[in-house]
Amino acid sequence: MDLLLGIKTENEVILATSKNFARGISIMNHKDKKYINISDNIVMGISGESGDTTQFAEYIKANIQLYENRYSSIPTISLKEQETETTTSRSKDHLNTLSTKNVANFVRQELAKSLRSRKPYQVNVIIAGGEGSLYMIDYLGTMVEQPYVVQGYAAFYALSLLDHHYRVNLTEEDGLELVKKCIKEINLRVPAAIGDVDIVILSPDQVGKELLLTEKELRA
Amino acid sequence: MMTGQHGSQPIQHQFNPYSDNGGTLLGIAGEDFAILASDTRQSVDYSINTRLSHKIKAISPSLTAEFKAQNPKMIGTKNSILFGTNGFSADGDALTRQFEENWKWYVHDQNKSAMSMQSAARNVQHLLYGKRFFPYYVHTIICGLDEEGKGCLYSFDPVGSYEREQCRVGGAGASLIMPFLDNQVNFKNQYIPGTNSTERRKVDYLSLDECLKLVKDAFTSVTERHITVGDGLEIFIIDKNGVRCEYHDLKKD
Amino acid sequence: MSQQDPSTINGGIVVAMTGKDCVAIACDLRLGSQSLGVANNFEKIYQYGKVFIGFTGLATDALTLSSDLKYKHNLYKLKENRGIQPEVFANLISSTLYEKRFGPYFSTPVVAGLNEKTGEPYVAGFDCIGCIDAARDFIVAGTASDQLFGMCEALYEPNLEPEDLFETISQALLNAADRDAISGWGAAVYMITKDKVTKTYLKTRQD
Repeated sequence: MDLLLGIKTENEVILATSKNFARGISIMNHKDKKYINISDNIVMGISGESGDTTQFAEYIKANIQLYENRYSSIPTISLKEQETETTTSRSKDHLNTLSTKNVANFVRQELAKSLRSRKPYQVNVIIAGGEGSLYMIDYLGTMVEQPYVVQGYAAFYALSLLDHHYRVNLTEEDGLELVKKCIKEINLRVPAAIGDVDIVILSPDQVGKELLLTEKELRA
Repeated sequence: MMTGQHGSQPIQHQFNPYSDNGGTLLGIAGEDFAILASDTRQSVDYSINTRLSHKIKAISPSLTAEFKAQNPKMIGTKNSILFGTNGFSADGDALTRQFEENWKWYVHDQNKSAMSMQSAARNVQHLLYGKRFFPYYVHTIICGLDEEGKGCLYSFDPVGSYEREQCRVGGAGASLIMPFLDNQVNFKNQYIPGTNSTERRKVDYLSLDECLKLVKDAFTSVTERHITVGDGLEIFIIDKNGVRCEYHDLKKD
Repeated sequence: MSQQDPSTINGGIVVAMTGKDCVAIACDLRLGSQSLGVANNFEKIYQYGKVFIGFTGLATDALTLSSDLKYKHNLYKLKENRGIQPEVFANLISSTLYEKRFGPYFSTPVVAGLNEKTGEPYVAGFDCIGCIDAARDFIVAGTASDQLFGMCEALYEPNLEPEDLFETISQALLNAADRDAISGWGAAVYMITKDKVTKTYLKTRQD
């Protein structure tokens, strides 16, 4: 079973995604990555039909990058011989970068469009923004902004725990503890193995932290 | 050779032993009385079979000449049971007759003047559950006075699950009227003014007149919005004096 | 599992009523996925100038429709340089829905507003392909529409003052929602008069 879980803490947004890649009754590998960095401070967790997930994630990322490249400010200094584009300074908080809300609405629109196409994307996503927003969008294009979100069957177990324990002013450590509590419950109650879990921690002014929660740690 | 959209597929016909005769049944138990009311329309699909059908029967010990002389308008004693069914009327009639038979043998064998409401309710459950795999397609409500003389109402699902309640609506208009009764009988979502919604309005018994007003309001409302409800309204009232029945017209459109 | 009625996946209700020189529109706050409650802050009423619209039904279509109408409302303001009247908005919604006649949005909107010229209260409802129901009393929509019909038909009376209309619409919404498993989880009521709009959140059952 795929796990997709996000929590907002006082200063961070935490995203947790499972690493097991299952197909039918088998786990095909233990190193799946169910999130994608859309831009510097926006991450999208994604689950659903296996082909659709990567296809859709890359499509979204590419389009967001295309938009930002098209409409970002033109460098005031022309590119020198040795300079690559990435070394050119570009203000991160410039108007033309897309906010998490912008990205979420774009993703929603794409999913809503896809729903009435010949073959709709069957993907559910969570979009987390370092500035402190967390969106959940399902394959229909239903979008909600919430302090904590869970996708799939895990929601039946995790949401009731989060309803009970969640507070608005959690620290990063509290948030991680809560994530662990949820995963432990899921491991306890769900027949399919979750395995290791990727954790991404986003905060307003620094680059996202990525860490790994191993199955061992989770069982401890 | 078969033609048409079915192609070579044989057409299957199946006998459907049930039909929906529409209508609504409503009961309220008061402090020392109970009311059971229903509309009198009986329909199938968009056709009206009759504008004066009876979904409620007052099952009563036989009336003495003295009782009749004293209470010319009463159709039953205080030991009566108001038996109402709604849904598939043939099943409702069958159930009513079966129960009446059980009731008669019970008072005869036990040499009693009546059957208690709680025993009646259990008997109805057995009648309904006895046909668990070919159910009576009815919502049943029975009303009477309990052993303390308090208003009493039991409601049943088609297979015999039952519960004693203060009020209940069954049939086509149930979804329209039930929330109204929650609000007006059990005072749901009502708070004492000035308490900032912290203090609930205390639930209290309604008077007979208040109940009758609610019943009439409920039926005129549901008649307005539901096509299978209308024509007439029959209200049975049971209290310490006995059973009486009121009739009011409802819209016939 | 996969074949389901799109208009009852997410749950939710909207109701609108007319009063004396006022209109009210109210919605619940639940968003669900079948039996699972997903959000208790999903407001279904949107404001377009002085016109209010509630969207029930499939949430994704409600969102799409609400932003499509925002776009069309902006164009109207740009072209006409004036506010849109509720009657006009109702026709705009009708044609927007009918455009998708053979692949409809599974959403049934409800319009409420005061006509700025006449001051007349206006409410209207639609089916999912745009048939307008311009009732003079009240409009109901959503998964507890039967319950709302019963409540409104019994409680409503014409020409109520704003305070009384508020109580009527609130009780209608609350008691209807309580008899529907996929509606409720909070409620919001808008009271619209000539010179004031108030929005009130109601205390509701949380089950």
